[in-house]
Amino acid sequence: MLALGEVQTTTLAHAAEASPAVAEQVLSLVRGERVRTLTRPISYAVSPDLFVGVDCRIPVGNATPVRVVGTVTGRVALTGGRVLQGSVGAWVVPGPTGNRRPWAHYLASPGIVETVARCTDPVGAADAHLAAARSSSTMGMGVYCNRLLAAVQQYQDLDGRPPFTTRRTTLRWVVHVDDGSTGERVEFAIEEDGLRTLRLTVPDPEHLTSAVVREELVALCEDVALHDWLLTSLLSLLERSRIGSDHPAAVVRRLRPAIEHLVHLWMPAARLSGPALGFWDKLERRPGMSRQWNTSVRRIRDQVALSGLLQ
Amino acid sequence: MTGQGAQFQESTARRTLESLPMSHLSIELGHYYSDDLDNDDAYFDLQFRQLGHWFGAASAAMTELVGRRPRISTCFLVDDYFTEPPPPSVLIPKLVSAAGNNDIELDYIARESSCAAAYRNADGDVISDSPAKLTEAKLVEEPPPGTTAARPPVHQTGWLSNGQRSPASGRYEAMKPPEPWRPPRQNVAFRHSIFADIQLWETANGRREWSCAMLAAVWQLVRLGLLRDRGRCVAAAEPVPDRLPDSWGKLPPVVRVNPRATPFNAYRTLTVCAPIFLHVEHAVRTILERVVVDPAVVEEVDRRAAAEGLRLADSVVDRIEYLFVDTGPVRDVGAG
Repeated sequence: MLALGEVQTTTLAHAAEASPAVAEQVLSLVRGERVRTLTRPISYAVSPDLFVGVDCRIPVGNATPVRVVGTVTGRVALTGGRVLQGSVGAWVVPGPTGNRRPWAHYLASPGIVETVARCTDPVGAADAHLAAARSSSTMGMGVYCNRLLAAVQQYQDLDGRPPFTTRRTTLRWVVHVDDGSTGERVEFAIEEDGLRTLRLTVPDPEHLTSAVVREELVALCEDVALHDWLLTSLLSLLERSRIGSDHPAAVVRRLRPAIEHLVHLWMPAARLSGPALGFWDKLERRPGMSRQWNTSVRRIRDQVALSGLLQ
Repeated sequence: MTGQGAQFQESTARRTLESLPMSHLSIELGHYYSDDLDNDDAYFDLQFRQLGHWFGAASAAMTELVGRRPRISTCFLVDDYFTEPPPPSVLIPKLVSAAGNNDIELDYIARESSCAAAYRNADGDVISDSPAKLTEAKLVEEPPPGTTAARPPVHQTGWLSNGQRSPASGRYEAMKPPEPWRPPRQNVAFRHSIFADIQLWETANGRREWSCAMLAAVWQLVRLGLLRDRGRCVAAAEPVPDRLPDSWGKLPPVVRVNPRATPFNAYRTLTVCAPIFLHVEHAVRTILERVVVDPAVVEEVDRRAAAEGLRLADSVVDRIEYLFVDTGPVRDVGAG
C-alpha cells in the first residue's frame, strides 16, 4: 500500500482574517455537505471532500509506468482564518490485472486508485512522485490542487488583497511501507522554487489498514506543509526587512505583517493525536522547525523593543 | 480525538448523520404514465392483481436471505412533475382499495416533484434541499483512458455518458478530407460496446427541467436512504392527512397510507414494472454508477445491515433490482 499527495499552501486572498462564518461560506464547495470547523486550539475549517476520476499512468523509477484507475480526492482548509491549503491525494492499491472494472466499483471506494497491471515497485513509484518536475505532478494532482484553490480564492466576498506578499509552497508527500526498517521514518527535504518533499515510512503494512490512521497521516502532511509555509514566509519577511542594516523603526514597519498575521499561528500537531505525533517529534529534532521559528520570533520582538528604546 | 487521557470535541467538527429506520426491502409497485392514472378502478385492479404474483415471490426470496420474517414496505410514485395527475383525494383511495382487493398492502405514496424541488415548510423555509441538486453534486464522471486529475473528462452540461462520444461531425476544413465517422465507445465494454448518452436536464426559459431518468435515479437513492442534506434526511415519510387535499403540492414528499407499514427506506430496493420502462432504468443504473454516495452514510447503513445479518453489495447500484413484467397495459402498450 502506498499513498501519494500534494499540499499547496498560501495566504487567503483577503485583507482581514476570515471569521468562522466567512470560512464556512468560502469552503462550501459541495452542495449538501457541511464544512467542518474547529475553534480550538486554533481556528480551522475544512471543505467537504471532492473527487475526480482518473485513468492514467504513474511513473515508477526506471520501470514502465503503471496504469491506475480510480478517484483522486481533494479538499481545501483554512487555518487561523488566514492560511489556505489545497490538499489532494490518493491511496494506491493493487487491482485485478489486465482489465479496468466498471466505474461503480471505483466509486464505492473514493480516494483510492487501483493498479491495472501489477506494480512490483511501490517504493519506485514513491521516489518518482517526489522527484517529479515542479511543473508536472503525478496523476495531474498539482493542477487539480491549483484548481481547488482558485475556486476558493475567487469567492465573491473576498477582497483579493492579502496583507503581505508570500509565495505559495508545494509539499509533495508519500506514505509507504519499508519492510527493512525497524521503526517509523520521516524524510523532509527543501527543494528549489517553493517545493518541498516529505516521505513517511512505516515498517508494517498493518499500520495502514485503519482508516483513522490513514486520515491522520494525511492531516500530518498538511500540518507539516502549513508550518513549513509559516516558517518560509516569516524568514522571507525577515530577509526583506533589512534587519541589522536599516534603522529598527523601518525594520519593524516591514515586519508588521509577520507580527500581526503570522506569529500567533505556530502550533505544530495542534489537531493530531497518537499515530502522527511520533513523526512530528522526529521532525522537531531534525530539521527542528520550532527551534528556528522561536529564534526568529525572538529576533523580531527584540527589534521591536530596540526600536522603542531608540525613539 | 483522543490524546493521552483527555478527550476534546467540538460539535461543528463532528459529522453527525441522521439515522433512518430501515426496512429490508422496498418494493415499488409499478411505473405509470400520467394518462394511466386517469383510468378507472378496474384498471388498477388488474395492475395490482398482476403485481401481487411478484410480491409473493419477492417476499419468499427475502425471507430466505434474512432468515426470518423480513421487513418489506411497498411504495408508489405519482408523476406530478411532468403532468397533472388526478388529485390525491381521487387517486389515493383508488390505489389503496385496488391494492387491498388483491392482498397487497400499499404502504407509501410519493410525489415525483419532491425528487426535484426543495422541501419547504408552511412558512416557505427550506427544510431540505432539492434531492436532484444534491445528487447532481455527487456525480463523478467516468474517465476515458488517459485522463488525469489535471484534465477532467470533457463534460457536456446536462448530459452523462458511459463512454466516449463520437467526435463532433459537420466540421469541414478547406482542402482536407472530411473526418471519418468514429463510433462512440463504452468505456468498459464486455467485448462490444453498448454506449449510452443520457440527458439529465434541459434548460428552457431560464428554468431547469430534470429528465425522467434523473428523477428516477434520485428516487432510488431516496428509497435507499442514502441521500442526506448536511447530515439530515431528505424526503421523510409522514402519515397521510385525514382529509386528502386536492393538489399534490400540499402533501409531504412521501405519505404513509398504511399505519402498520414498516419503514419507507430500505437496505435494498425492487421495482416491478412493465418492460416499456427498461430504457429508463438502464439510464438510472448508468447515472447511479457515476454517483459517489457519502462514504460515512454508506458505512452507517452497511453496519446496521450487517448487525441484522444482511451483507450489502459494495456498490449502490447492486442494491437495486428489477422485474420487468407484464402488469397490464401501460400507456396502451402490453398484452393486458
